[in-house]
Order: sequence, then C-alpha cells, then structure tokens
Amino acid sequence: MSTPEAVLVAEQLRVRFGGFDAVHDVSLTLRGGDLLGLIGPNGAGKTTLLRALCGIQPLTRGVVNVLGEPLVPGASHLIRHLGFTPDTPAVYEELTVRDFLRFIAKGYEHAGPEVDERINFWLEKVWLLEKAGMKIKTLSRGMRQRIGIARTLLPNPSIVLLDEPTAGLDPAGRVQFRQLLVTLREQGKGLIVSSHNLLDMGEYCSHIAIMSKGQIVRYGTVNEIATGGDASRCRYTITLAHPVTRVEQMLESIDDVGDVEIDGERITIEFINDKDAAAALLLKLIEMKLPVASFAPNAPGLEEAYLRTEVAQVD
Amino acid sequence: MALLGPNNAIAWAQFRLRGGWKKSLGFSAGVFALLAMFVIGAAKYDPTQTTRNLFGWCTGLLGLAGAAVVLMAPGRIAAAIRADIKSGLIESHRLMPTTPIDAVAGYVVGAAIGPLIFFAGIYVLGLFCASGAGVPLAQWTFASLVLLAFSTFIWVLAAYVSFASKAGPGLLIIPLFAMPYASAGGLFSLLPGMTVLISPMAGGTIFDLRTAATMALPPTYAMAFAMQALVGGILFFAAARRYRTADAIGLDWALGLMLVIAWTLLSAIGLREWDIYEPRGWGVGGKIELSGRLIATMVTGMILALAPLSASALAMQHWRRHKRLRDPSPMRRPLFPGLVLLAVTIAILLVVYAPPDVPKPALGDVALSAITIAISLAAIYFLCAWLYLGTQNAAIPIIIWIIVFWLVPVFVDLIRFALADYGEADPIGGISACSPIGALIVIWTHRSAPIIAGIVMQLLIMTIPLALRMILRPRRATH
Repeated sequence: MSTPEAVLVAEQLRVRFGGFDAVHDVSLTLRGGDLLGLIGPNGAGKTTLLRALCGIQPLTRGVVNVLGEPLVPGASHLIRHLGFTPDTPAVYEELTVRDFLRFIAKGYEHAGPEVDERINFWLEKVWLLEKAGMKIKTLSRGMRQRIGIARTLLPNPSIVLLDEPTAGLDPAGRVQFRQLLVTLREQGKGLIVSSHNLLDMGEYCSHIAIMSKGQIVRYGTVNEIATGGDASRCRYTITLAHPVTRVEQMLESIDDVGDVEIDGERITIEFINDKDAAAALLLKLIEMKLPVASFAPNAPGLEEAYLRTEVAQVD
Repeated sequence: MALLGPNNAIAWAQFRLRGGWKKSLGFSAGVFALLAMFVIGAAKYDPTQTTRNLFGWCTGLLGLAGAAVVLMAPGRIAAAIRADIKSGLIESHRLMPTTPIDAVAGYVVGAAIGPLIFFAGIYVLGLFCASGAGVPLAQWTFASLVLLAFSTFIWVLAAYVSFASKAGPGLLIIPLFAMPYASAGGLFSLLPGMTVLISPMAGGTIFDLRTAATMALPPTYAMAFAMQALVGGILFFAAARRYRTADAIGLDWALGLMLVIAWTLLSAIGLREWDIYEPRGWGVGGKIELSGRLIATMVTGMILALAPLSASALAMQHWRRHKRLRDPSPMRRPLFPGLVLLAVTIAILLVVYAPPDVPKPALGDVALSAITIAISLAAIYFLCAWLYLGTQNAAIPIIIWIIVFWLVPVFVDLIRFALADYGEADPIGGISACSPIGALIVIWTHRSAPIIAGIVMQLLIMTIPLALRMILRPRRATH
C-alpha cells in the first residue's frame, strides 16, 4: 500500500508577537488519513500554530504548503481545502443556525437545492437539526461549538484543523464527536486536533505532537508517545488479595522488573512488553507465594506519558 | 465572483442581520406613509402656499435622503466591519474563497441596502412634491442621482477607514464635514481639492434645486464624479488589501502614491475651475489668496504622502526581517524608498503649475520647495524605519513629530510676533523656516526670512531619526 500524499506541509514556521516567539521554527507534515493530536500546556503555542497553518495568522518566517502549493494571501483555490474551528467559533448571533450555514455555503459558492441537503446532513451529524430554525444567540456554548464544527465541515475541506473542539461538549457529544472524527479520517482527510483531553486523544489520533514554548518537543504515533519511545517495555498492575511485607524487595529481585510503586494491595511495575515474558513473570510471582488476585498490562496511556515528560513538569 | 448580486455571501448576511426585506421595507413604508400624511396635510392647510410648501418639502426630503445615505449608511457599514473584526468573524470570512473585492463590496452593499430602500421611498415621495412645486422631475431625479453617487464614495471611504482604524468613520466626518462647516467654509477655500471632492454638498450644491440651470451633467459634477471614482477606487482596493490579511498594509506605496497624485489632480481641477467650485454663501472664500491655497494643498499632500512613505518603511522592515531570518519563503524586495520619496515629492509639487492666468512659478521657488518637502518626508521615513524596528504602529509618534517639527516653529514665531513691539514686521521669520510649513510659506509668499538656514536646520533635524535608525539597525542574522 502506498503512503498517502502529504496534504499539508509546514516548514520552519515562526510567529513572533513583539519579542516573544509564540511558535518557533515548527515543521510538520500531515498526510491524508492522519489525525494529529496537538497537546501541550496552556500558552505552548497550539492555537497560534493552528491559526498559522490555516493562513489567518501572519507568519514571521516559514511557509505552509497545501496540496503541494504555498499558501499565500489570496490563494482562494487552496483556502477552500482548509477548514478551521477555533476554540470559541465566531458566529452571527442574530442569524438562525440554518441561515448562518446558508451564508457559509454562499461564501463557498455552493448554490441550488443541494445546499439545504448539505446543511441538513451536517446539522444531523452535529446533532443540531432540531435547532436549525433557532437564532444562534439562544443556544448554549456546546451548541455553538457544534455550529462551528458544522461550519468547518460544510464545504468538505481536505484539511481540518480543530482547536479544543470538545471543550464545550457534553459527554454524549464527545462520544459522537469521536465517531465523527473517525469517519473523517476514513474519508482520507488530514486532521489536526488540539485538546487537553488526552484520554480522548489516545483513542482517535494517529499521531501526537507535544508542544512546549512554541516548539514541537515530541512527535510520533500514539503508541510511540505513550511508551515514551521505548515500545519494548510496558507497565503492569498487580492486585494482591492482601498486603504482603517486603513485597517491594521481592519484586525488585526479579530480573527486568523496575520502577515498582506500591499503594496498599495495588502494585504497579515496569516490565518487558511481551506476552510470554508476562506469563513467566506471573508464574514467578505465584512461585514466590504472592497472593495475586489480578495481573494485567496497562494500556499505553498518553496522559501518563505526558505527565512524565519534562514539558508537563517545567510548564 | 458575486460582486453585487444576491450570491455575495457577506452582502446577503449583512442584509439578513438587519432584518432583511421585511424590516427594511416595513420601516421605509412606515416613514413614507407618515411623511406623505405631513405633505398632504401641509398642502391642504394653506392651499394658497401649496407651491412654496411643496418646494420646501423637496429640499427637506433631499436632506432626509442625504441623511440616510451619507450618514446612516456609512455608520452601518462601519458598524458591520468593526463588529466582524472585533468578534473574529472576519477570520472565518478570510477562510472562505470569497475574494477581498467581493467581501468589501458585500459589506458596503449589504449594510447599505436598508438606507437605500429608504432613499428610494423618499425619491418617490419627492417626485410628487417636485411636480407640485414646479421643479422639473428630471431636476429632482438628477439631484437624487448626484446624492447617490456621492454617497457611494462616502460608503467606500467609511469601509476603508473601518478596516484601517478602530476609530471608524468618525475620523472622516470631522475633516470632511465638521471642520469645513466649523471654519465657515474656510477649509473649502483653503483646499480647492476638498471642495471638488465634496462638491455635491458644498459648491453648487444639489440643494440648489431652483437655480440649477440644466438637467444635463454639468462639468462641476462630472469632474467631481470622476475624482470621487478615482479616490474611491484607490480606497476600495486598499480596504480589500486590509481585508485579505490581518497584517496587510492597506495603502501600500503604490496606492498611497496614487492617492497623492489624485489629491494633486483634485486640487488642480479646483484651482483651474475655481469659478465653478468656489463655495457660495461662505464668508471666508474671497479672503484667501492663491499662495495660501497652494501652500495648504502642498501641506495636505505631504500629510497624505505619509501613507506611501510609512508603508514603504514597513515593507522594507518586513523584507529585511525575512532576509535576516533566512526565510524559506522570502519576500520580494520592495521598491527602493528613495524612488517613492522622489515620486511623492514630484506629485505634491506639480500643483504649483495648476493655477491659470498667473505667471509660471520661479524655478528657484520650485527647487527650494522640492528640497523642503523631500527633507521633511525623508525625516518621517527614517522615523518610521526606526519605529518599525519595535512596533507595527507608528501613528502617535508621527503625529507628535509633525506637531513638534512642522507646527511648533510657526507657532513660536506667531507668539514671538504677538509679544513683540510694533516694530516687528512679519510674523513668519527664521524659526518658522525651520519647519516645512513655515518654509513653504516663506518661499511662496516671498518673505525675507532666511530660508537656506531654515532648510539646513530641517536637514539637521532629519539626521535625528536617521541616526537612531542606523544605530539600532539589527546587523547579524538571528534565529
């Protein structure tokens, strides 16, 4: 299977506000079907980077290539391939939801009866069809967030950039939103999503970029980031039936076991990421007469990996 | 491209935001009915004075129509643009493939449709009043069309100012309307270019329904239309540039230079056809001499020239930064600022050859004026070049510079003159000559003040921002 074409390539992007670099020499490549999750502390430059990627934030240096062409002011044929939803989407409060989306459709030169069909399709996708006739000013923040997403997706862009898209959504909305992202990925769109919800990001992203102080400090697949770049090791949780004295020394005496953490009957260790090795370890624990009630490897977690990074600690 | 049609997304949204057809037609129909009642009532109240009453109504209705399209519509346009900039919606618009030209046209048309419908209602009512008052219907139609054409120019002006400044069109109303009226027409007489530009409201005005001689397009309006179209076109493209990206220079060196040329052209028309354009009914007009008009026109040209020069300085700063940072997407080198300076100086100076029936100006006077203008504008360029090392907005320091180095020397001389004994012959002396305004006064009114010393002083003043720029220039590539 051939590698999908790069839909978005950023080269050495720099955005300076006064004497402060909000984004400092960031380069990245996004392919069709990629879903890149941007994570990082507040003020890391995620929003500025997304704005720079879609061309609304003037660059101090660097270039963004969309579908192989540089994105320059006035390149409307490229702009129509880009969709961006800011964290608080700006809308015309006095218009109804349907009228606002009609306005967007007109802006993208969509006309005729299929416009209403398209609007209905996306309103249904973001669960707002019932609110189509209501003025936007009467809707909640979460609903406005959904309008913002519908606005972005209505013209069917190839590249979708979403800044904190789930910030105002309720739990059911987040689940539905995850499904929507998966659908978009399957359609071959390139997506970049910035979010603080690492649990969600671990589920739907293909790649993760961790930003700090305007730079991408870690980049890789979700698994690479979650395992800290060492996929040969993994964390396991052991639950004992009752506390055992000197369990820490016992565990540390076993080859390849490291980083033992004990919390009552619950023990977390780091060990080889291999099923046979795990089975051998369990046998060893039983041979040591430890009252093992449960034994399971931890799924690689972004949250844990992120919290272990210097980024989280420093910022 | 959906410049003015219903497919212009921004026009459509702006019109819908203001209630659409329902609200616009409802409001206009209501006012129309109310005014019609008053007109009929006034005619019936005193049948012997019907013609006179209806003529009064014609003038009043034209004033009302003027208020709708010249004041209300620009206010709406400005509010629409400022609201979208403030809310961030303009960024959403920029992501649409709508061209900047379509977008600016959309704001202008969409926000002005309501006042236009109102204007149409007034026009229809005015037709009845005009027929009863003995005003030819063609005359009424012509006056309405002139007003509409003028208002289109004001709409574009309001759109540009709203994109360029947070202050919005309030900035325009002061110099275009308030100052001329507050100065009892003095500003019109001082600046023939301004009189031409707003001639429908100042010179042989559209309100002069009874005495206007012809329904054919008189040269007054034809030339004013052409110049309004030229200036409006320049500002329209500048607004479109501002719409396109957040950091765009609206009036870049090319559009700024065109604006200076347009100003000189406007002023030349005003000076050559002063008999046509001279504002009637103002007290000050006849007291201002030709030299006064020339000096004021050149000084205004210098103020307009700040746009291309500061744009040139900013573009050079951007280009140098791209070069210093070794940008993978380098910027094209801007035009050499010296050429911009030369072009604006020539454009400003050409006005001295415009007045008819007077001897050609002495070459020495023209040369001294050119040196004065070039030095003063070069100082502003270097000031901008220095300021843009740390900021993108140099407006306040430029205003302070102009007050300190252009105006204060003249005021010092005036104060000195006021405090002196009767022996002091001339209020404009050596100190004034150190400022460009004073120097131009000395040159064109042939005073005895030491002009060469004044110009040397201006040259020394110019070295201040030049030295600052040279000292603080970033020298090495940085990362």
